[in-house]
Amino acid sequence: MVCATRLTRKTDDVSTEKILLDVSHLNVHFQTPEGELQAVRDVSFSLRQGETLGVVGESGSGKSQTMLAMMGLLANNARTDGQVLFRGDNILNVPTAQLNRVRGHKLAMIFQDPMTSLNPFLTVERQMTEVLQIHQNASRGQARASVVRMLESLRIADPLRCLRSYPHQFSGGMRQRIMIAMALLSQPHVLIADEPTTALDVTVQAQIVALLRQLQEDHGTSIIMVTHDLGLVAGLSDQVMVMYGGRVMEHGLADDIFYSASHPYTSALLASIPRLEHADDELQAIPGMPPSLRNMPAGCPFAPRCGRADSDCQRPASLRLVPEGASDHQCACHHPGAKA
Amino acid sequence: MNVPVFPLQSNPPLLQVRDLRVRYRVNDSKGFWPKTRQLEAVKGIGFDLYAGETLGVVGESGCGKSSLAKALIGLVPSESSKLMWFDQDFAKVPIQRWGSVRRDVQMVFQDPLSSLDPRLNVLKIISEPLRTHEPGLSAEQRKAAVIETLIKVGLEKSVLYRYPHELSGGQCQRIGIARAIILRPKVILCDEPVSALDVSIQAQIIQLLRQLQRDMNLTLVFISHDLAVVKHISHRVMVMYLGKMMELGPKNTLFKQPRHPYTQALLDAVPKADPRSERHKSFSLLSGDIPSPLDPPAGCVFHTRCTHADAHCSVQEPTAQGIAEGIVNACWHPLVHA
Repeated sequence: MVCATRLTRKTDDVSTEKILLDVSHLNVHFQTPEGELQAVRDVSFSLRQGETLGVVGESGSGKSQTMLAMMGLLANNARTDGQVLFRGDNILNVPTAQLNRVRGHKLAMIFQDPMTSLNPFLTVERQMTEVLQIHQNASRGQARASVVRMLESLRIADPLRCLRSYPHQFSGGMRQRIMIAMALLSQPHVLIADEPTTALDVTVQAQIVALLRQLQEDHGTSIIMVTHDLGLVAGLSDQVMVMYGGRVMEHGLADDIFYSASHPYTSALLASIPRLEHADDELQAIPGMPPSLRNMPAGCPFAPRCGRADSDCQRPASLRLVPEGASDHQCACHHPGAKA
Repeated sequence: MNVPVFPLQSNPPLLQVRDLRVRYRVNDSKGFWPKTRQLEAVKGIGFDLYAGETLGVVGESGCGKSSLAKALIGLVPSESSKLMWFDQDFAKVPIQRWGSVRRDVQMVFQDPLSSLDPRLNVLKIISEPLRTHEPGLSAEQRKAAVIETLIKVGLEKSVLYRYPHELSGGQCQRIGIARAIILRPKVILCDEPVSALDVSIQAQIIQLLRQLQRDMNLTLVFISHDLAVVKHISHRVMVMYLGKMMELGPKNTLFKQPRHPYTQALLDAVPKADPRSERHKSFSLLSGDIPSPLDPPAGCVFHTRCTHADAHCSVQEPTAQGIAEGIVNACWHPLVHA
């Protein structure tokens, strides 16, 4: 397959590092009363140590389902195939007990809504120490001490009071910081952040992003940042994957995606976001709306909204290297190229 | 399509607000016996709104921007020394007698699905304002008006008998806009109209609002937490924090040369879709969270997070004052730009 080429970060210090996470040909199907729907089609990527992958897409693009599939958290009616190698071991479709050895431990996830992902009935201490008691057989005292250290390192004021409190007593930003602290307790190799700042204000978002960056510098954690906000992935990501209709549309280094986008969807997405730094140019809205899973076009999912679409686009485009692009810049389009 | 250059301020303002306050009674959860406390969500805001302009209102959650919009149209009780819509002062008028304003001032809400009645079809939703304000119309006339409005907001006749749950978020928001414009209002208050939508749909709705503004000579109050969106649609922008106005000014001045440290901090926090500059960005982060509005800081409400604050700021509250043409600022130490 063409997607065998792997993305390398331009700075040499990490490019020699081993691949931590290697996803190949991941498919997710859902069994529904209306028949089988495919939410994720043939997604492949790999992540090295200390690297950040930004996954960008609108709702229904399959970005969250890809992450949930990797974590084994899909709904009961889901069926997955493909391969997810975490440090060389397959973690897709393995028994829960085996998955739990890495899940929440070396492969951790932060969810979008911190209120619904924390248990409202338990104190923060109970929820946070649980991670260490389960994965590291720590005693309550040891676990508590590590939790306090972690909260201190995230600059949370008065960690002891924080431990005694319940989730509802915190603001959204604080809850998200607690979620992050919890995910980091067992020093994961890979941190999956699924829209970690969507529910938060810009100033708090900036704090959370700064925090994630700091963590990456200190511990060399690899991060997968799932978001619809192109601005958020710009500063954080080494590589960026753009998804639409369950498929990867374009995948490359952040600079390639932002400055020499090849897929018309990526260009259209970049042109449709209002930007602070730009003068009053008109927003280029994308006509139409994203396809629903029930009614996915047979060919390229973006074809109905695409200015370049022609009869070729009635059949799906596979992910190929961009002609004359960087060596690791891939695009799934019959008519790739810079903006026409 | 360029935004017309404002100010058109030779005209008399459509709306004049002075010292607007919104207070809620809330339950105090501390302690065993239930007590209620007073929360002041909007603390003395004053501004003018001119015909044909878009006034953007930005601020973090809890800053009172939605309460402000609701108070302007009488959806929540408020107090003010002056609330002059067109030529009538509603400051002392009980909310029950606000009907005449609501005809000319309509509102578009944040969550497109939950602001539409799930048990009404699109025809009934959009024609509801007509039934209220123009009871003389026949069913055919109403239907014709609804179809005309649907076309204006870029929807097809085929959605007429659909229900909200059958429509996408973007379509629902277009229905919400259709409901707001069917009475040909003068002013539309948009409370976070695009924040629940996907990026590609968001741009469509922003363009639709600008289009309608040109075609129908609408005046917009556009509330959003997203500075980039506000920058795109507004002529003038007001920045709010904890119920107070921090800064108000023409868009270009405010975004290029913010005078208030809070405006600067907000602008710095917005991530830009530009990896090269973003990677090397060093900015002064605002520390901490927005303080509880139940327990606002003394003096300047922003002093607890402000990098320019000194002892004076924690004691004396700065008053909003005009510091240059069209610019109002509430800070003891406004930023100076070379």
